[in-house]
Amino acid sequence: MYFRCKNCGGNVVYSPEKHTMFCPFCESEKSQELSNGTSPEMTICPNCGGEITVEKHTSATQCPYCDSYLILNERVEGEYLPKLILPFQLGKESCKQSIREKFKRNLFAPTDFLSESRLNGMQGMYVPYWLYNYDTHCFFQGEGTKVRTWTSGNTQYTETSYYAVNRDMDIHFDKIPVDASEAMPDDVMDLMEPYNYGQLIDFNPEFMSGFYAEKYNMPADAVEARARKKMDEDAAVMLKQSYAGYHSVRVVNQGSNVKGSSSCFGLLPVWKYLYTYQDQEYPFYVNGQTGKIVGEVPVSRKKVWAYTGTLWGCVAALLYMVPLLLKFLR
Amino acid sequence: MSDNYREEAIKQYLRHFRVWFIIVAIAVVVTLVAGIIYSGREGRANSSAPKERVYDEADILTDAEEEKLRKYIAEKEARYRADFVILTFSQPVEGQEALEYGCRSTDWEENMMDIADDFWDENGYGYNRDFEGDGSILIDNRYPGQRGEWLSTSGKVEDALSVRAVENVLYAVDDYYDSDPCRAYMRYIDKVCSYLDGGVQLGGVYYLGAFVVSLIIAGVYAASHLGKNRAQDTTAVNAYVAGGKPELKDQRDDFIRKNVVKRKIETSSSTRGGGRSSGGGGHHTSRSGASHGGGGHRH
Repeated sequence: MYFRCKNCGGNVVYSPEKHTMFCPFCESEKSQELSNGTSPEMTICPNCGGEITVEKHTSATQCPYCDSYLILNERVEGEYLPKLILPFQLGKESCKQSIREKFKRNLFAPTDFLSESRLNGMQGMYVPYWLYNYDTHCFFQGEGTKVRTWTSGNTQYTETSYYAVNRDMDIHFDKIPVDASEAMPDDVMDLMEPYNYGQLIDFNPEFMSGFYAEKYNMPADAVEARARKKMDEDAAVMLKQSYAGYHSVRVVNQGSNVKGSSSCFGLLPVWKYLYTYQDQEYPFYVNGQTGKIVGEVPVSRKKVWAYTGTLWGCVAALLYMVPLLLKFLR
Repeated sequence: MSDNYREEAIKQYLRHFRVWFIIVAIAVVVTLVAGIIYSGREGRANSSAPKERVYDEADILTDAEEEKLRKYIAEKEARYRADFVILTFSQPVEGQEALEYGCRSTDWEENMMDIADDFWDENGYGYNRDFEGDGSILIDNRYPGQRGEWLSTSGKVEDALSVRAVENVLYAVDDYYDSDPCRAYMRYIDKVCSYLDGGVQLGGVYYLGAFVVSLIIAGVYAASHLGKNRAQDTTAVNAYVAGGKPELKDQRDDFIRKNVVKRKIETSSSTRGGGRSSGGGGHHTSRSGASHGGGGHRH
């Protein structure tokens, strides 16, 4: 499917800046009508009829011939129907600006790294996520000490008080995200977090128009271990925080168990900027909601040598001139 | 890289280093101008002082050595624009014997200092003027039982030589004081000249240090720009907790027992450290009212 403008026939896309559907051709808003084209095949563009290459997990893509953004019906329906979607809040221009702002002080980055033409190549995509809910029960039993020290005359007193510490708590984890895309590096996707779920809404394919997307690549139980790990770590920290204030704590018994769990499939927004330098790819990912950027800037060795060498030369020249100048001025 | 990006890269580079380039350019210009003025300075302004620089009253140098020293001093004087005088003698400068000899006190140091300062002042030495002019004198007393040398400095030499520097000059003389007096006196001239070279009191060590320091600064600069902008985990532990916090069902802290430990505080007695005073003289005013620096070593 794709969204056609009722006014001009152009492809209507979702505009993060305007927070609505927008036709970039006639600039009209909310003028979209759903079109499924004439071909039922996924490899034929329903707008121009051109043949498109569709990757295994792609659910939204762009036609290389007419540039229309297409949503593959079969991959957003049935078992692949996302329950939730977090629409892009950050448009391409804002994203480019964020990247420029963040990396402008990277002296040793290649000169064209932040160029308009390179940044224009960035793509917005909805990454498939499994969102896990857990009702967790945690408990702790231990012995804590509090130490008080005071001085009277020439004697120092140290009082150690011992307490039996008991904690019992329920933690309701709500939508712990784990990406379900083989193409996205797990560590990078973890760093993309957090997302503000206040803007998470029921799925509507309109939000996908203008962006790339994937269906989930693997089922929920295949990646749940990552969610459990996040949950265990966070629960342990919260449990520890609950008995903070003791000088020392000896653990007698502690543990946690999950009383109930569920999961749902959702799409979260990510901008991807792929920069190629000396035959090596440097991917940058930007959280499409918060603007958080993850990626490692390439280093131009020529620049490192030129800049460092110049600074060394300047400092050395100044230091070497000092004794000469003192001699001449005497 | 296209020409546009190459141009942009050069612009970025020049923009980044513009302050450095301006500072270095100013420093080069100032140094060049100072160098030109320095090399163009007129010669010796003081014509009232005697031409003689080597007075071997104790007769410890051969004629050839005296001549060698005179030539050496003439060469250094022209280059450093400072007078270098050497006086050897043999007379009592300590105790009752010194008073009988016309000295003002019985103290070795005071008398050596007086002799050096007076010889300099009364002869009107000083490269640029005959009072507080630039230069130094080394006097060497070979009187049995009261041997030793004293260095008196004046003008820019006084400014250039700290107490420690005076000590270093005297140590350089001491190395050959007995074995080769001529060499000892040449060492005196060399050492004073090295201090006149400016901030190079450590000689080659300074240049090596400057090289290393600039290398370290450049290294820190490179490292500080290489390790930037790595993303951090900014997800709070309660980011996915409904309500932002756990629901505490039980929170009991039951007191079990306590114990108290007493410790007597020891009062530490203060220690008295001993210092070691160093010899050598500093700045002072001679009997004629001129400012001198210097110091001496007794053998």
